[in-house]
Amino acid sequence: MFTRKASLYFGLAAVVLILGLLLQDWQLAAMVLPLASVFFLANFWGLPEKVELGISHQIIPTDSFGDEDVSVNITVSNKTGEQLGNIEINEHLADGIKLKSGASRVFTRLGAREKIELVLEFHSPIRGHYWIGPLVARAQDPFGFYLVEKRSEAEVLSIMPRPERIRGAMLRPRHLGPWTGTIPARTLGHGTEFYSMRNYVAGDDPKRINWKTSAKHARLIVNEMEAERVTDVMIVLDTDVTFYEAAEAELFERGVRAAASMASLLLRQGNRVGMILQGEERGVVSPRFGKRHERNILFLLAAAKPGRSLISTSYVVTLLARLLLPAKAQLVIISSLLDTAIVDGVRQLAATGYSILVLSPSPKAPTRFESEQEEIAYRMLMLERSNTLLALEKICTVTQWPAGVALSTVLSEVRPPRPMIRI
Amino acid sequence: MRLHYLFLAPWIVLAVPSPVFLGLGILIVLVIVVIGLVGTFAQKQALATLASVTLLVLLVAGKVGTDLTRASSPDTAVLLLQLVAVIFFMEASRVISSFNKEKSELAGKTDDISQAIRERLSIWVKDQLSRQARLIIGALGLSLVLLVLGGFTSVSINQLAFSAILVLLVVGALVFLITQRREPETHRVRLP
Repeated sequence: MFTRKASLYFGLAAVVLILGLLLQDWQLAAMVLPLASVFFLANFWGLPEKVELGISHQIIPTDSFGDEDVSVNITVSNKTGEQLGNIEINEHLADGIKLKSGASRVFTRLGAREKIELVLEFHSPIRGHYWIGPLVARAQDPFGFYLVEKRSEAEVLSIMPRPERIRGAMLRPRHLGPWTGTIPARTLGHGTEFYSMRNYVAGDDPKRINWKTSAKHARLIVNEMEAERVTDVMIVLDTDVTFYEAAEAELFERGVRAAASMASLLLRQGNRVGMILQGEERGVVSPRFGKRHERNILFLLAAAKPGRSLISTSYVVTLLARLLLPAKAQLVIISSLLDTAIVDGVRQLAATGYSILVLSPSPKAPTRFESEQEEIAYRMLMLERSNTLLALEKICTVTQWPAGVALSTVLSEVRPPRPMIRI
Repeated sequence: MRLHYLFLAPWIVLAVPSPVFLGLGILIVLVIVVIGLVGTFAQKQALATLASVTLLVLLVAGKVGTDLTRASSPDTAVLLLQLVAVIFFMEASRVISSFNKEKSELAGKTDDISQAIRERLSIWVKDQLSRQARLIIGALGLSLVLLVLGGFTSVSINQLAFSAILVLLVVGALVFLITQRREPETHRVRLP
């Protein structure tokens, strides 16, 4: 195709010609000749009539936990039988990507049927989704009057949060699935926890005989175990952490890490796990099993950004939990609890029988305040948060996660709420 | 290549009789030289292009002004040489600018991949400049040949019908030369 530049030169030639004829000046009119000659030579000798380029790019790896270098392998080939002297290869990279080696824009020439391979390498950027591409290859004549362009689709590079290896949290939902898992089912079955004793019957495994009790009662008694099953869990990550600029990012990233770690742990234990992102940007992954599903959840978490939600967290959580989870299943809410409105939603869900665990990353106190008003505001916010925590503790299991403490330690201390005895 | 404004601007502007540019020739030269040099040395392509386009406009305006003031006209070959020189240096400076931009992106990278790209770039810039030079010399030669051939035909330009036909023919030839074998640009393309 001919370019805008060619049109501009054409415009210049036309103006010169018209002026030359208006002023009856042959010299001026003759200035069209070099322009026309340049067009002619550029068209017929600058670029072959049929140009066929083959392009491809491959991102390795396409998703990462951010601890390895990423490379983009670009291949451009000239499928025509003539040399292309002016080839521009342009790989569009997302902001925030700084190349360690190679260049995103390369000028080169390509011989007949030549194929070149370029590699771009960069350090893994921070968590998020990044568009790599489109890859554009342009063949032009030396003056850029004519051009043949080929472009490939952009691809996404996902830098996902790395899940931490954590030990199990003590979850006690009343809804349990039929498969063996790690959640005590309050019924007899295969498990690791003691449940009851009964008389020995023929065929019982002798390893299960409780010799001490058998000796006491002068008959054989066997131990019975509590069945352990899987459940359905919905993890809700509250991304509304509008708090204190410097501490906001740290608080948010802790929440994302916790969500990734919890999802990974619960899926490893065989549960069906879903994820709700609630904040300025929302996202939902419905509960499913498996390793591949873990990728889906981590993919969603890679895109998480902090921001104030437009729709009440309480409303969204209650609606989606009821839509996507069976009754009496488990909800894990990860929230900094800076918005007090969440209490109503949790109360409604608890009333309908859902088991709820609230994991609240505690904001780190700023090292210094800009003004006295700011300090007062911070104290008020913390008081409000304390009130929210107190209100939630009456309804569900709540655990605070202070900065600098391992998530595993925090979760190992989680105990289900004691049943309330009414007199 | 970066200093071409130092000789192009005086050559084009000062060759025109002083009254055409209202006696401001030297000032215009200075302005163009400054803009052009700032553009090329500070890697500001827009400024360099502005200086080159101004030179093109001054070349045409100077000729028009010469006609209007009925001053003595320069030699046609010189006029054509000036025109192709401006076009060549404008396009060459764009190539150099792309080369420098690319080189600066590779600055400090000593790995094999970057080294290979650097080598490709050096070959490309030499090749590109020589092809531009060849095309522009070819265009100048062709123009001069056509000019000489045109000189043999002694047709008066004062005939209005002839002028109109000539305009149509030349515009038609230009359109043919631009569009022959090529299609128009269908989407926005960013050129270096």
